[in-house]
Amino acid sequence: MANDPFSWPNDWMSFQQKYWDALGGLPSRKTPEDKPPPSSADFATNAWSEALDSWWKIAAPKAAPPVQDFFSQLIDQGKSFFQMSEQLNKILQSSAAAGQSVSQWQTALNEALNNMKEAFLSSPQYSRDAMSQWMGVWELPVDHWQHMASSLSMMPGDFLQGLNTADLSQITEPVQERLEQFLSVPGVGHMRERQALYQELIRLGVKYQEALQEYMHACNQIAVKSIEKLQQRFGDQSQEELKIDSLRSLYDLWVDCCEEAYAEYVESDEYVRIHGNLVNTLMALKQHNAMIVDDSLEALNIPNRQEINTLQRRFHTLWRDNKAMQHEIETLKKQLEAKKTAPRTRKSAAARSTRTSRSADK
Amino acid sequence: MISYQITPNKVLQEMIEFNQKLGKGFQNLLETEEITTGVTPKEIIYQENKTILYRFKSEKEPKNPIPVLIVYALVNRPYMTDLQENRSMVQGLLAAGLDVYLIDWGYPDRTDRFLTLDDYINGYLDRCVDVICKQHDLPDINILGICQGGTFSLCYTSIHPGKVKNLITMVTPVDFQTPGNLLSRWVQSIDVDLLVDTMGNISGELLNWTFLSLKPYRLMGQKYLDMVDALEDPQSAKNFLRMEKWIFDSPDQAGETYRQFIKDFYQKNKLIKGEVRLGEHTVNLKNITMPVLNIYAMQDHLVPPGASMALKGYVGTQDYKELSFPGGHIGIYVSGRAQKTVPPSIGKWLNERM
Repeated sequence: MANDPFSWPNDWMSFQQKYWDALGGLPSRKTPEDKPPPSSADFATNAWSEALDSWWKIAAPKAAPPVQDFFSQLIDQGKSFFQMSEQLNKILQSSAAAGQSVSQWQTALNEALNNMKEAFLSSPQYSRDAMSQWMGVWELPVDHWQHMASSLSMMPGDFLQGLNTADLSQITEPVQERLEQFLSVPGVGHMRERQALYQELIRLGVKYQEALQEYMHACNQIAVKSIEKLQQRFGDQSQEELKIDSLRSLYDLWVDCCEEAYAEYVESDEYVRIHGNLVNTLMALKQHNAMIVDDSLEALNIPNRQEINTLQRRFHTLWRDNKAMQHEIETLKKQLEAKKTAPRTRKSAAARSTRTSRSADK
Repeated sequence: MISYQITPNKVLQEMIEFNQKLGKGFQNLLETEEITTGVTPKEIIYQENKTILYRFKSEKEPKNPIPVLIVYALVNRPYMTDLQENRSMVQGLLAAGLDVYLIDWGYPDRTDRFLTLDDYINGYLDRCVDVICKQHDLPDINILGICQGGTFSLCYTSIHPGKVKNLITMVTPVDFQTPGNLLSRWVQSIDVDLLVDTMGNISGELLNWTFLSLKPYRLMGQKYLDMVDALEDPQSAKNFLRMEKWIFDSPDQAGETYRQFIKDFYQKNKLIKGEVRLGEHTVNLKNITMPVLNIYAMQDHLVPPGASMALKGYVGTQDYKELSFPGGHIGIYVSGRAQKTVPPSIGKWLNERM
């Protein structure tokens, strides 16, 4: 049984229990306030990654913040690795249950991969929710962008992430109509400028959302290409035999495929445009936002960013002028010093030469 | 063709081992003392605003009377050159008999938002060179520029050739638009004026995002799984954390400097066209007539070898030498092979040109 990859045991729950027991041996697990280990029912889905998560929740408070940050990264990637393993396990289990041959098993895996591809193509939202269970590593570029965009935001957490989760195509027509109506209302009266300012803010917000959706779509395309590359590797008879003897080697193969597909796409003109548009629309939104904040600060008689920029620019000019003058003074001092010593040197040289000629005369 | 040899028992064993390593790694991290970087003793020679000029202390007298100044990039921190005891380019240079200085640009904040490339190159850098020249009563010194610091050194040397005896550039971009330069490709469609006008200074997070996006699956995913193995050993855990600290220790970039660097160098490739203007000066690489040693890394994904090797066609010197290193952009400072080859080669090359 153990040497046959296609006859998976039915007692998976006991394996999971062993796994939990192994986790129990980890540091920080045995604390008085610990809950008892979960029952088998708790492992219905994604047992490994959930168990890892549970362990981390208990262990994390014991670590200093820098260690926590770093280890959180490890846990996130560990969870992604575990999720991939669990999903793969499901495919293998069903194949084993049907007693399939190697080629049939490959067909089953191929089908699973095809389903993934379809999911990526059909709905970004679905792919984010469901596909992250399986080889979640594909999400990394989008996740990383959202963390970065969040760090540039004045709001705590990633409020922009909340904005972008909805697929624009899924916004219902009435909402879209209302939005368009609001944006097209001409400004009148003494609030005209204010109204235009907020209309522009919404316009820029929508533009950023569109750019983000396009970026996410591009990342989905990369994921599809990655899956195709994985399928090619699985099915390529001409290649040397590729030995997959651990989940880790499968994970590494998946990462190789992702990187390969990514590298090919991100050099394209299309990606360069999408990438630029993503950054530019976010900046346009932020700039407009900053302008509104500046306006509000001005109304409260508090110095705003524009004024501070002006001060800093003046300060910088003064500093440069000051440095240039210092340099000039130093140069003049040196020249003066050189002039002071030069006549003396010339005089003494002349005197020496006179003395020499006199003694020569003698 | 795939030979699939995963069995349930193997999977179970793998998962258990993974978790045991994770637990042991966590324990090791809890017991790890504070991560220190910059191991070689040094003293402050000159300080101006956030810029600090250091001189490294050596147990033995330098053989070479002409000091070498390391000019690091504004991106990331210069302690990469002196990361830890057995991974220190600085110690390698000291061992080669050199007197080593280093510029630390510090962490720019909003008060530095209007600092320009001219301020950095003809201001801070020039004043640091003057201080060293005065200290040693010399008209010129050796300069070792690293990455963006190498580009700065090229600009500086072309404007002040009389103050540089020998120039070494390391993983330095010269031609910013060679094939395969992904950073350059991406930046072409960025509205840099909008970016700088909006952000003021450019945040370290944005730069990190860009660099990690070059290989996102390896650098943000696989690397951490690899780490689970390394964390088992306390020393490896410490080494990894030190590197991790460096990677994410990214100073913000002074806005105006960033604006000119991206527009003139990356977007318009003005360095090789002889069109870069710094204050009152135009940068002409043909003015670089002193000996030049150009070191590049063959697997550099940030500065492709071609971007560095282009230098040969633009400098005015007759004494030009290249040294290729079989590794990446980071490995060239910290790998075991680099320790054995790079600093001794620099030392030998400089000692032959005293």
